[in-house]
Amino acid sequence: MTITDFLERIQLDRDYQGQIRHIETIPAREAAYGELARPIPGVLRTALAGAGIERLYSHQVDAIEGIRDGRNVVVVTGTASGKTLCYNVPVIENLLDDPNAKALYLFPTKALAQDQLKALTRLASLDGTLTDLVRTGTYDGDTTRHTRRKLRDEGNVILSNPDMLHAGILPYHAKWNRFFKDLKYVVVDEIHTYRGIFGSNVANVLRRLRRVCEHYGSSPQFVCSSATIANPKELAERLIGLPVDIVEKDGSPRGKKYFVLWNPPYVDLTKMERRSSNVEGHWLMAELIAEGFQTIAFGRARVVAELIYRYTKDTLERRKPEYASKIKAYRGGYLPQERREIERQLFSGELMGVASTNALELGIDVGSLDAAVIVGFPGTIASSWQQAGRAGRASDESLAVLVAYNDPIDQYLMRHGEYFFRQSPENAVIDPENKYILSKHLRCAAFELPVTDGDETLFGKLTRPIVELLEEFHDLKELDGRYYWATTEYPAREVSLRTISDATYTIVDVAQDNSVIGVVDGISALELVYPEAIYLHEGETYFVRELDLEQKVAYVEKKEVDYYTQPVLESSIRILKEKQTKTWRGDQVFFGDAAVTWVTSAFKKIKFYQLDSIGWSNLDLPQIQLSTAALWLVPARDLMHEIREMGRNPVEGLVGIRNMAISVLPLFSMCDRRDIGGIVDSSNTGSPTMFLYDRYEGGLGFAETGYHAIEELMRGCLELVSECECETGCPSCVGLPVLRPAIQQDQEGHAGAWPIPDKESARLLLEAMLAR
Amino acid sequence: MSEDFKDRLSRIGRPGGGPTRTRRKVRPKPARLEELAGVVRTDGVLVVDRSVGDLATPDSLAETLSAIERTGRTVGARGDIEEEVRTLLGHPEGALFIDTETTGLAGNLVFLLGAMRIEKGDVRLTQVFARDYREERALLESWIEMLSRAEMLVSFNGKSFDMPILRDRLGYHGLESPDEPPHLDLLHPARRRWREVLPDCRLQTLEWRLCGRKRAGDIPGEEIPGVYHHFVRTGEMADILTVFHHNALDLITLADIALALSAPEDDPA
Ligand SMILES: [Zn+2]
Repeated sequence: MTITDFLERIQLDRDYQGQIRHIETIPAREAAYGELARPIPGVLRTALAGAGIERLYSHQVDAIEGIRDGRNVVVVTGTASGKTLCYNVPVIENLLDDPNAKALYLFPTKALAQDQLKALTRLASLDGTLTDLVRTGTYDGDTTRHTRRKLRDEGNVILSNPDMLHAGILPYHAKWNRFFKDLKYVVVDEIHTYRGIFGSNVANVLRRLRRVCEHYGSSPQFVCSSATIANPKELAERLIGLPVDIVEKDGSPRGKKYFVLWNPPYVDLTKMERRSSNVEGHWLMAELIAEGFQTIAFGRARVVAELIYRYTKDTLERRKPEYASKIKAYRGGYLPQERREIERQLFSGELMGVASTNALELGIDVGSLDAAVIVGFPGTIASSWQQAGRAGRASDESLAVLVAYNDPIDQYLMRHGEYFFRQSPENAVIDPENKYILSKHLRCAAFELPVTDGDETLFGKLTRPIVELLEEFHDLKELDGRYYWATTEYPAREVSLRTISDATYTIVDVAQDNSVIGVVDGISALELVYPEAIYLHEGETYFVRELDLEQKVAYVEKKEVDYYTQPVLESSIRILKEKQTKTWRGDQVFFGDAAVTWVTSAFKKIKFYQLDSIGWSNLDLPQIQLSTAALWLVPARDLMHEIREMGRNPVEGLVGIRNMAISVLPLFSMCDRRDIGGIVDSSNTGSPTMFLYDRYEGGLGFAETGYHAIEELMRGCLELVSECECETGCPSCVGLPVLRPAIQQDQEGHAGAWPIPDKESARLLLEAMLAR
Repeated sequence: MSEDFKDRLSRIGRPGGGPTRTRRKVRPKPARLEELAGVVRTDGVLVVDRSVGDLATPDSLAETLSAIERTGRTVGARGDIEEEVRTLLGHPEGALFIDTETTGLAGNLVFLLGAMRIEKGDVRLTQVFARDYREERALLESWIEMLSRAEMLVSFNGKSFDMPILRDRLGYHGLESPDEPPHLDLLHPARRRWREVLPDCRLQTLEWRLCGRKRAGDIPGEEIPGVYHHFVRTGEMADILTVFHHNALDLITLADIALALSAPEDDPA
């Protein structure tokens, strides 16, 4: 059976009720090969042949030639297109030439570094010379002291991550002096993950890396890779601060691919409720697997991956019992060795399917699958394509299905299939010169090496004023025009590159001698393993007996129940300190400090396969608080009244403006949409108020920029809403932002909680504001 | 990030933010370290060279130290003394006792290098001091010179601390690290010898239990980096002199420990 046959067959199934809303066909592509101007050295050619690689694809040739020419390169090609060879070949052939040369590979996660280590050692093991030549290993938080020293002293290809480079390598560069002296290549993999705050931080870490290299007399070349985004070349250049050549013509072959938009049917004639998307998704997955198609399902939250896994296993036990044991769940929080094992089994074909979160969206090599079932729009076009990219055989047909939730955004996409396929993937924006981020990294930089005039070319024109300010505050001391670190502090420790806290909770099974069955980050813990929660692990139901907040341990035990639990979250904002205020066209605008808090206040019990709650309990858990900078706008009362007079809801209008402002503000403050949060609230000022805040402890100047540019910001919103061709509101104007602080919630059962606000209300309110 | 700093930072680069510098440069008071007794060099780095006998230390010290020379002649055949200690005591003139002061752990710089050696019946102490961050390089050049003359290094925890950081800093400055002579790190024999009878084997514990000395007016090790940064910023001498003293005492105790290790097992000095 081919995928084409499958699509025909499914439409004849008695459970089919017209769910397919759109089928996009992506034609097959022939392989395009290339020849290198200078052949690959013999030993490496032997190893490659041993790995079954006799010829290189055109994009691999383009990348290798660029690197051989000494240029920086970014490779933007699909999953499983052989991206890794683009850098492994030049790095190894250079090592054959110069055994002293060194390379540093950076991956956004430890898991990816592990995966690439496996690939690199496998390649090197295919030839005795290479086995001796390539001395490699991962250098990260899990590396033992002994291995660290060995890698530092002897390693020539080090695999690490930006966080480790920032806090565990650069501050100790003197220990690495031989490594940096001969550093020839820096590989930055999956750069599309480095956007917004994280990306701006990483860009500064890479600048620090470049100046440390310069100190030791090296000037490494950069090789980047990226998934498809709107601006990979620009992102790479902003990240490393150097010109970059782009290689994007994918020469790897691809079979024909279908991308299907799938909307679960209404449950009855009232047309209020749709069939559960998790149930629909699992059905598709089970049918695909039963027909022999290796399939991956993606869910937005961990619980979704677990549910789909559980349902699919159940169904397969009836439908195709021999496959029921050949599926697994995969998500963050599983222990590393469990994850490695699943990846291996998926790659080898032992597994027929896996139900995953976006943990598998990143480039871990699990081979190519036949089908990807994406349950719920992942939030960005780029992510959707990445998840879809997991399916795609070299010659056979493949299938990606987006199963919609019954929420406004997903439903919009179902109604407007052409919108989804026409939309270009998102831009990745970073701002290395954000002065809050920059000042933190200039402190780290000064700790590493005195800051000199020359550093302005790396860090930009704000370098001098910031460095002078740091001297004034006694962090630095100027001597002969060089600014030295002059305190006992250790600045790298104070800077976290990511926005998510790294406190980790462990989940232990009390019935199994308290053995650890999983981990969860500090923020998610309170949404996932609260007391009496049902924690799903490999599809099994575990009851949470106790959550020890002090020791950061959740005690669970297996318990057969027919329900799972979902947290109920409450969030709020409180003004801490008003710092600036102004009257803008008759409305009052403020800038200051605010605390955004959220808490799991209760939980619901939901029966498997159902959507409705069968029970509810209150919880008494601590709040999570983000103290940050915010701007808030209080529209004058008469203005709101005016809109009401026109028969529109002004508060809904304000919500629409908030959603747009979150998309527009990044254009001024150079951040990612996800770096900004927003709330419409009346409790602080006594009347409806729009808050926009930085989603980073202490704030990073985004809301501040918005405060100063409130006129431009509001004009931008008006343009957006006026020019949007939709009728009553869509994800491109008043609709999109996902503002939920929670990430571990199943979107189902919350449908309708965030309707797309009325477009006209927002437009009228903006016009009225700007007309004054 | 302090509130003050954030407020000032927020003005940078804003229209009307303008230059915010109102402060006059604080010039360090003229340093008078150069007037210390025993200063032998002030170009690029400050070097103090003194006889340990000149230091304001308990009288017994000079005696203990010269006892090393006497003991050395009698330990040659004693099997109950660890071999390296025997080598040291048998030929103390070739040994260089070292102790460094740094601005912290890895990633920081070395600002004071104390080196002690026994020379014709006199115990000489050389302290090389970087008066500011720029002088670390010259300090390390002095170190290279000393290292190339030493026949043996004696330290306390120097294998894990002083030597790695010195090597790192040489690498940082692009200076060639010379061949290192044998290194006797007294922490290890001391641990083997007294682990059972002493609460811990920190240098100052040994100093108190073996030599019966308690330091008065000494500076706790963790405060030393801060004192140095303060000195660089202000040029104020008082506290940094305590660090010189601390460093000298550490070296003298080092010699005491070596001697104590030569005593029979059942007699903890
Ligand atoms: Zn629209």
